[in-house]
Amino acid sequence: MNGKFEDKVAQFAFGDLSPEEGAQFEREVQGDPDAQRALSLYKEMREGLRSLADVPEDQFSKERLRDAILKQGLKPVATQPVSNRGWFWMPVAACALGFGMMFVVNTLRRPSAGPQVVINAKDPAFNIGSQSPLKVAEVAPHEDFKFDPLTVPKPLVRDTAAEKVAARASKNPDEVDPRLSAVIPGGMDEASYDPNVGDPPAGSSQPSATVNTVAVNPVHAGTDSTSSGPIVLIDQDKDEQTGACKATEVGSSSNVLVGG
Amino acid sequence: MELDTDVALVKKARDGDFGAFEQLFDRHRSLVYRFAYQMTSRRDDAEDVVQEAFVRAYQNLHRYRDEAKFTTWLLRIVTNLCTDQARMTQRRTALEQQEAAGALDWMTSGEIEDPVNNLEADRRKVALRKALNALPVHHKSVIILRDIEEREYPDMAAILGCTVGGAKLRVLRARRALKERIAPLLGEDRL
Repeated sequence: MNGKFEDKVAQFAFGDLSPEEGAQFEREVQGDPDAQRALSLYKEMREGLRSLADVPEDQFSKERLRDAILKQGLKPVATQPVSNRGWFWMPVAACALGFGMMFVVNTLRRPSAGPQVVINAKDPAFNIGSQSPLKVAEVAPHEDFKFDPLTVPKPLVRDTAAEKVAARASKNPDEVDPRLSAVIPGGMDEASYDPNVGDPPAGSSQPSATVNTVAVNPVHAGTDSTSSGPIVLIDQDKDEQTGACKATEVGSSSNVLVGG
Repeated sequence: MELDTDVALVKKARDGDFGAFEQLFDRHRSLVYRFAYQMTSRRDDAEDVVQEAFVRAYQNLHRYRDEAKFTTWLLRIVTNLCTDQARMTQRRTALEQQEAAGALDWMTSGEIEDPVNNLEADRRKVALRKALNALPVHHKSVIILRDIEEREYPDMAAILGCTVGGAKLRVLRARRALKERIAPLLGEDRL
């Protein structure tokens, strides 16, 4: 008895064949003792399975179901159309997040606008009469600054530059650096120093030995020249004990006259 | 008629009427419990399955499509739950057997019987139940659906998620597997 025939025996025993097919199959198995034995076995199996349908009474209650549902805090979810746009929004959201991260990182790495030496000819503190022959170096934010991630910004150690200028002035009191004609608030990087900046306008006297004081302002970058930060005035007169030029610290630049 | 009523109750339950869902529970709990009991052979396990099935049904009412019968959808949930539970039980049993080195065979082999069932059981039922419990869960579920619960093939196909032909084929294979297991028992004591 092959598998296919056995399947037909099982179908017949369990009543899955139509009456015509059943009657025909019953005639076929009459002369086959193996098929008869299998048919008997399947029929007994069917009766036994039906007898298993009786089950003990359950003790399940509505209260138990209600507690189970309340315990999990469930609510029936309202019918909502399933959105198939997730595949579109997820990469868009990822790109937006990436750009946002880049912006934040660049913002954090970007140095604050560095000081720039400009000429403030309108500063009332240095307006002498109506001619205003002097110009004042002023710290102002550089609006055209562009961040280059490949260039490491130079550390802004302004005090060092100011000290160099002061030291040079003390060594050669006769040789006056043109930049000494300007108030240098917060100091200035020598590499970025423009000698033209701070020059007096045409017709006025060049900064020369007539300049007898040098104002060095060690205040931090970004401080306005008119603000009252500490200013060191270096005199041409030498100290008797040390031989260096005398230095006087003043609290405000409002009364400092540079360049005679 | 029943289909319409079930659908109406499901709609009410979706709108937040828990009483409608309780009506569905009252109506179909015995069906779910019978199937769960046949699958687990333990009343407490069967009741746990019933509870979990109705909780899941309540949670997923929005996924129920009205074109199918509610009982079919519910039995599909129960079948999946019983399949999961049977796999976990098999894993746990294997682990226990491994740990006890066979000392607990009397607890794990054969049927873990319910006291009520012990009173009612005769040798025929016990032998058949043993053979049924020894079947893989996919064979066991189709035997229960078709030969114990007497579900029609299209209904079975919907519950099992297959075609009608596929359901018939599964039943044939499961019956053959059950016959192979029950034959030695019949040799010892005739059904």
